[in-house]
Amino acid sequence: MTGPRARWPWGRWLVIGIPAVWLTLFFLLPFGIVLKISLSEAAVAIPPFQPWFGMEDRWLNATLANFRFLLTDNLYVAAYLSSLKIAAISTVVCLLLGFPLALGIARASPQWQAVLLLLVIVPSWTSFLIRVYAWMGILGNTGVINTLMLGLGLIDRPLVMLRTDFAVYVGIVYAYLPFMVLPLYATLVRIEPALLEAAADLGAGPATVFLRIVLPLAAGGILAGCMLVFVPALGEFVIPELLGGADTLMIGKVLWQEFFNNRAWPLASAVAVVLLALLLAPLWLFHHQQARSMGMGR
Amino acid sequence: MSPAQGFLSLRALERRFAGVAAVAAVDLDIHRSEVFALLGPSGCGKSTLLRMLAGLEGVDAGSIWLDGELLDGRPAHARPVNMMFQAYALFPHLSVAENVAFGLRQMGMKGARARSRVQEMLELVRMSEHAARRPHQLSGGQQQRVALARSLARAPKLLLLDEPMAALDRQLRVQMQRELREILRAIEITCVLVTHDRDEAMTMADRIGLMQRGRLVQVGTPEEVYDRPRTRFAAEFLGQVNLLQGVADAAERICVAGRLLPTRGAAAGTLTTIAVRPEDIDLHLSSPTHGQALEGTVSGVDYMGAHRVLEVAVAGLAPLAVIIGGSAQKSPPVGTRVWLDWCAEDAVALDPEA
Repeated sequence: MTGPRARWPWGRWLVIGIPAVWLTLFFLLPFGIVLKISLSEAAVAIPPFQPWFGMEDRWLNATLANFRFLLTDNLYVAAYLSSLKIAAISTVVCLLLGFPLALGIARASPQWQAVLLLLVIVPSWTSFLIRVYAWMGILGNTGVINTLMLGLGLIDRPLVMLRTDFAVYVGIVYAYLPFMVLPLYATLVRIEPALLEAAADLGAGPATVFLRIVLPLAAGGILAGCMLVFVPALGEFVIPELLGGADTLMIGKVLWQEFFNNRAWPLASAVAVVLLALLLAPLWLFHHQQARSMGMGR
Repeated sequence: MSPAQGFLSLRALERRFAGVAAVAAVDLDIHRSEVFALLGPSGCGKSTLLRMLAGLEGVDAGSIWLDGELLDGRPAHARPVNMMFQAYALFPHLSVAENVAFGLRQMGMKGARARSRVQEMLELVRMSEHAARRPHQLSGGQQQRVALARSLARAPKLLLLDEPMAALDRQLRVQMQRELREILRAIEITCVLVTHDRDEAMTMADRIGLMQRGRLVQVGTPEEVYDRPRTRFAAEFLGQVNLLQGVADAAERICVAGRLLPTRGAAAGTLTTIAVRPEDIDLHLSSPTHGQALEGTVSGVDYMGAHRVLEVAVAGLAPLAVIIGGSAQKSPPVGTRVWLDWCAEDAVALDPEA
């Protein structure tokens, strides 16, 4: 195991170094700036916050006031909780829809697998924004669904779907379903059919085979898919903005309003830092599971 | 359909894929505690037949009886049959002990009873000290033992082995063959194994069923199948063989290259092919007194350690292979004139093949 390291020190440093430099420049450094702003006081200035090193009585103008404010004003706590709820429910719905879909693709013949995977991926070739706008056209009062149902005489008045939480769920599940299906497919397709046959041979009915063999072996894919849906859904801004109603509370929207409408950069930065902290917990869980399944081999 | 004759009885069993018969007209009776090998080249339908017994493959026609019970239509998980899969198919997320316990749990056996059964099985295959390991931490031979323990844990009425040695390297194979045979004999289990390796079939099995193109072409003990092959395919598949063609007379002799040589089972007046194993040919350095030996010239000698394989050219015939002992008998050099003959029981007249 030590052989390659001793022989290719430069190649090794390059491979590790490039992403490390990238992450430092484009993630860690900006995050440092955001963290710094979140610890500053707001000011009517350009940029709209106090510098850390002031000329006055305090030699360092760092403050936790913004974070304290997040706790005192119910809006933020409610927005975080509402985002967590929307992201969690969307993730579960994606999993429930995505698992049978991925299983179906994984069990199809190799030619069909390629076609079906393409069908999953193809929508993302168009702009995300356009696809969300398309949902406005589908869900609106004069949209496809309402026009059709009115025309068929199934309803008297248009169903209000657009600008509700329902529309937000539809949008998020629609937008992130491929991120659930792809990792699930990748793990399910690797499960050897002989394992399922062996389980059946040992007396396990179809339900037991699924629960005791398929689910545990797909755990990595389930977790990866849930992370890929949950993490971006939690901070989602476009979908609640376009499909949600005035009362749809999501932290991404709040952050946008604080930053652009209120020009409260320090507060918006604090919102972002807390959001990141919230995301670290599930990411740590994911990493832990990855490390475990790597140790399992195969 | 009449009830079964053997412990395991297959009656007119058939399986078709896209109209082509993968298994056709298989009738077979296997005794209790017998180890039976289905032998044949790849694609002969032997694995399909095994999977039909396990319930993992559908049956298009015919019936399977096991211990007086009709298995037809019963799914794999409801058959008293267990299989050891070719690549073992151990569950990678479960420990060795959990793998063995898997089938017990499905029977409702839990707790102390299940633990003692797992322990018993692991001791049988000498894997007790590895009970907590995961399959990927085991060597190929160890994985095979665990797979065997897992398939025996439920005390199946019938054990199926799919190419049991295919995933092992050559040296390990011989050792594991002996071990596996001893375990199977010790627990007196009825076993059907599938292999394309004739040595494996002959060392492991009480009887061999030779398969070709979905059909059983010959069933018998290893000695019967080797010494009295019915067809050219059977003769060639079980080992090196000399095939000679000629017209038989009424006294069970066959006319080859102008000489009358002994055979058995040949019908008088018919063009017959006989099979003679290289080790059954007697080699003479002078013409035998009966004057009916094939006369030829040694055209090649292959030294194989324990024996030598001579190639003898006889005018009008394909070269014949003759095996002589390695040290006891000195090999005649290339170019030596030799005479070949054999006993009647070593020259089997083959059925004309379909």
